[in-house]
Amino acid sequence: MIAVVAKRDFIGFVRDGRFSWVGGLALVLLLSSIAVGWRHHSELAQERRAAQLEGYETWVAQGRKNPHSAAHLGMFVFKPETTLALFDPGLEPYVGATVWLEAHEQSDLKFRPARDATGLRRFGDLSAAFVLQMIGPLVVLLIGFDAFAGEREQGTLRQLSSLGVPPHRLLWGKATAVAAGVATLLVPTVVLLLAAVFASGDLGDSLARLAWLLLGYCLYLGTFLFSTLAVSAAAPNSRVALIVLLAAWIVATVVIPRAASELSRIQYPTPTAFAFDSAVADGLEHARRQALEENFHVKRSQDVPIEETGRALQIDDHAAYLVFDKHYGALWDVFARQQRAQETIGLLSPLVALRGLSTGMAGTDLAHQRDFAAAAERHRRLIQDMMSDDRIVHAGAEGYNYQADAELWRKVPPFDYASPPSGWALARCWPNLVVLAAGFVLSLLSAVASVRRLRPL
Amino acid sequence: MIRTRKLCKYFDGDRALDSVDLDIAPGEVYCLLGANGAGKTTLINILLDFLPASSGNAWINGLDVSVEPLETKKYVAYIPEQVMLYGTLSGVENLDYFVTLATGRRLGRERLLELLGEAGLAADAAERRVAKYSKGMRQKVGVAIAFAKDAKALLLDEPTSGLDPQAADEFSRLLKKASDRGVAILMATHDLFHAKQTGTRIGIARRGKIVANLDASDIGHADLEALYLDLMRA
Repeated sequence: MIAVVAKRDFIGFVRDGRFSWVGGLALVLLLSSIAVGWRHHSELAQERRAAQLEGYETWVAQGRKNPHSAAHLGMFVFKPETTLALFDPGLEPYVGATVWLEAHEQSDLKFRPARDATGLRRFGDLSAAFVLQMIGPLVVLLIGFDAFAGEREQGTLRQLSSLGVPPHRLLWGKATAVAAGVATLLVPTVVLLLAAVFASGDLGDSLARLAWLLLGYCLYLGTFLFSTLAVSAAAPNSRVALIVLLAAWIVATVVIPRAASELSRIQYPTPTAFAFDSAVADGLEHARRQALEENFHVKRSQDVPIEETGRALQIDDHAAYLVFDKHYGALWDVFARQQRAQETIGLLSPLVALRGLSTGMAGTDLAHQRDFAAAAERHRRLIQDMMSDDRIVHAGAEGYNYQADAELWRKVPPFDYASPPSGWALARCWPNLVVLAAGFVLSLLSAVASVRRLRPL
Repeated sequence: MIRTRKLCKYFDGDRALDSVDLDIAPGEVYCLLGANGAGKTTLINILLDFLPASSGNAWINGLDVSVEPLETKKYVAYIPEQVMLYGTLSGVENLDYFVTLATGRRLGRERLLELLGEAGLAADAAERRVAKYSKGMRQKVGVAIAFAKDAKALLLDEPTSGLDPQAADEFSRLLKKASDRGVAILMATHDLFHAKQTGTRIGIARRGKIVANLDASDIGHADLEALYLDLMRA
């Protein structure tokens, strides 16, 4: 009986043209955004690999020089894009994926595409995740708003009720029909993403991430599906159902996420770049002075004995590490608190939870960005420490005149960063999954309750 | 087959049905006459459990409609004034859909066309989308649903209203066919002529009460009209 109802409803919204227009446009948007994302991903991955390799080769080929000067040569390192970033680029366009590694200074992520983007470019960057998050629910409500209200209006609900069709079977049948409509968007998306995962060769972890991602989107769209049917069953007519659902869609996908973002920034303000840089500079100056006084009983680095300059630089660097850890740690903590605050406010909208899960599983969320930035900083410190150690061991009285060669530069390993495994990501995203599951169960219960009260008159 | 006892219904204190007692046996066609607001549709809505009764009971095939509403509906077919069908489906697709939901089994396409033919719908019309059907054609699909369901009781709410004389006559013949099969029929109508022509018994309702119960064979057209007008004026 459920299949019979589902088939009738599906034929109904296909034949009245609604599904062809709404679903067709959404599908075109979705597939084109995946295709563009795939191409962009492939080009970017290639460019980043080439640029990072070139940077390392420049490092190795820098010739004879003092290790301290070598540490100042610096190099760019790049966050490798996960395969699923083509689906959901997440924070990357806003925080960047490149870090400049140079002696003495911790650098934040650079080259943020969003900073240089024109309005047109931003529109062109429409991601598949965005389409599913915003347009997906719209497709659900446009094909499902009249599921019950329309039947009541046309009088067919009387006909169905007179036949003794149990209302809950109508609910499952109608839910199956709308789900089949949504599946025409989800299935091609999953097939393309699977193709991208297989093409990347990174099967195990990416497949696990894709599975969690799919579960999240199913729960999200399922929440809209059952909410739509609940409203349709309760509304006096399809016009009222459509107005209520469109208003709910705007509130859930635009108003609440935007309000959550603004309120979180008001509650946990991000320091300005000037204030942050000033605080770091003050901290460094104080820590360096203190380190000189404690270790060499001098106030200026120029007063350190020449044979001790290597050790002095190392002590200076280690004092700076603590300052960087304190200030950058605090900055990342502010971002994390902002995200938690957004997620708390976002309990009112499944979109906020979905975004957290989607970017987390795509490897483009704050936690992944922080992990990459930390790995880049560890690499910078490794280079710096290796250079200082060599100078301490070999420079002696030569001090700044000591020169090392490629043998030392080669000892520095290339930066080799791999995104954390899916389990690591899931451990950070599970609250979002719980919120999505709770939203789904609530919407399901509300639909069941609404249909139980369904009267044909 | 169709039975009510002391059936009452109030809407915001206004009495729509007043202690209605009714017995319709298998093969009987009971035509309930009455002006607008007499309670005819309310009675049918209660028998279909679309509305709860304020007091009293109603049974179909011995089952209380308010206690076992889904079970009761296995034995009932309902044809309203305007049979509501899905405009995006053809006549045969509509019949297939409703019959499958009603009986839980699929009938073959030929059988469906045969049923529509029995109800008087031509095969070429059966394949067209219902959106372009006339009222009479829709009624025929409604009758085909009742035939396919093999209903023991048929509830009709103003089924001939708006039908042209030929279509109304065809409809009366279909009802006769159903009653010959032993179906108990309750038809609410304004149409005195077809009530007399089709009914085996005739009831007249006024302000929620059945004020007259007649054997159709005991009264002529003219007397029925006179009695009806007298009762309405009273």
